[in-house]
Amino acid sequence: MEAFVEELLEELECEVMFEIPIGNGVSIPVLESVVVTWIIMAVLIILSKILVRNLTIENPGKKQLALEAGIGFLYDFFHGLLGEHGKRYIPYMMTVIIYVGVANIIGLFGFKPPTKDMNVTIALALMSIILVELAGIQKKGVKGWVKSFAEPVAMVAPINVLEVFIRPLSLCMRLFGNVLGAFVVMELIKLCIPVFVPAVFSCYFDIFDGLIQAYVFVFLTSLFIKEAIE
Amino acid sequence: MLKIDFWNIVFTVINLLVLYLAMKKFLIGPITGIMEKRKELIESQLAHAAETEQAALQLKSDYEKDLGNAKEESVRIVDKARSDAKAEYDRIVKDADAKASDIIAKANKTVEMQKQKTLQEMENEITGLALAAAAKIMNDKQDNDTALYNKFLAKAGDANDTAGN
Repeated sequence: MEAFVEELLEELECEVMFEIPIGNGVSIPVLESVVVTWIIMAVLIILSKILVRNLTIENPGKKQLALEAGIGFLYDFFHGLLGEHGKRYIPYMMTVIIYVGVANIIGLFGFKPPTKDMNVTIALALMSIILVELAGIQKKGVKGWVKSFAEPVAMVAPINVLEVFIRPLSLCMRLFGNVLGAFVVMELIKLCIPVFVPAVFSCYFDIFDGLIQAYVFVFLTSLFIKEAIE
Repeated sequence: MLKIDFWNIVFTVINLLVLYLAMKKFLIGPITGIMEKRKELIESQLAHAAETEQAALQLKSDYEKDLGNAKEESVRIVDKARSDAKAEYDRIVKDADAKASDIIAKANKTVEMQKQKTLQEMENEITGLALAAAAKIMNDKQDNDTALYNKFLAKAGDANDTAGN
């Protein structure tokens, strides 16, 4: 049992892959999650380069049709959420859903999901809330944005201000908690019954839950942006 | 796992921004671009089709108008031909009438002349007869009186003129 717990903790730990020395004996540790993110980025960029070659306007091939259907689906989804005024945020939201989706299911390929590391979800949530507030400022101007905290009545201003922190926190923790939980459960299952059963549960915890969390993350971010630019 | 590390948050933010730019440039941009272009192409083709249809309808209405004009024109031509023919007919009939009355007048004149000629001949014959009668009388009476003969002739001629007229 002791060994089991240790092994589990070992699995949960996000390892330091290497350190970048910055002089004076101080160095910046680079975590596994960042390295896996690099791998994901590389794969996504290479895949994009390969898939996007030879696009034609007339008589597109099957590959292109599938690609267009996928991107078109995501585009319509975000267009529906953000509206015509929020069109400029669609590419970012698409990037995030692709990244989070891939990051959540990369456990299938033997990597530790980057979203299991809270640093990654914190970064994602930070970017989301910055984007939301920037969208609000861009739409209403700094004055209008400040005023918008006192709406609908001045009384709720503290709650609105609090929301600026609660929103990213909930985004960050929801994603992190789900992925971590799924990862822990999967590790437990793998340790108990290493044959067949993990594959079945992996379908739920890695694929289904992973994609749902990616969806929820971008869905909520889009809603906040829509709210900010209304 | 729960260790929050500032630098790794910064790395992830940078990673996300780079991934965003790369995805926008390599995946989302080209695909939405091509979809947009296709949409434009289809729209332009539809617009072109609508234009062509408009032109066709315009041509059709032009043709219909021309056809209507042609009908009117033909009716007008037929009417004109009819009125021309009527005028020609009237002229011919009038000419014929004039000629006919001319011919009748000539015929009347000829008849009159014939009558004069006949009268002249009858007069001559009566003169012959009178001469013969006079000769017979002279033979009978042996009286060769020219004065008497002339007197008779004048009398007979006058009497004949009166009867002829």
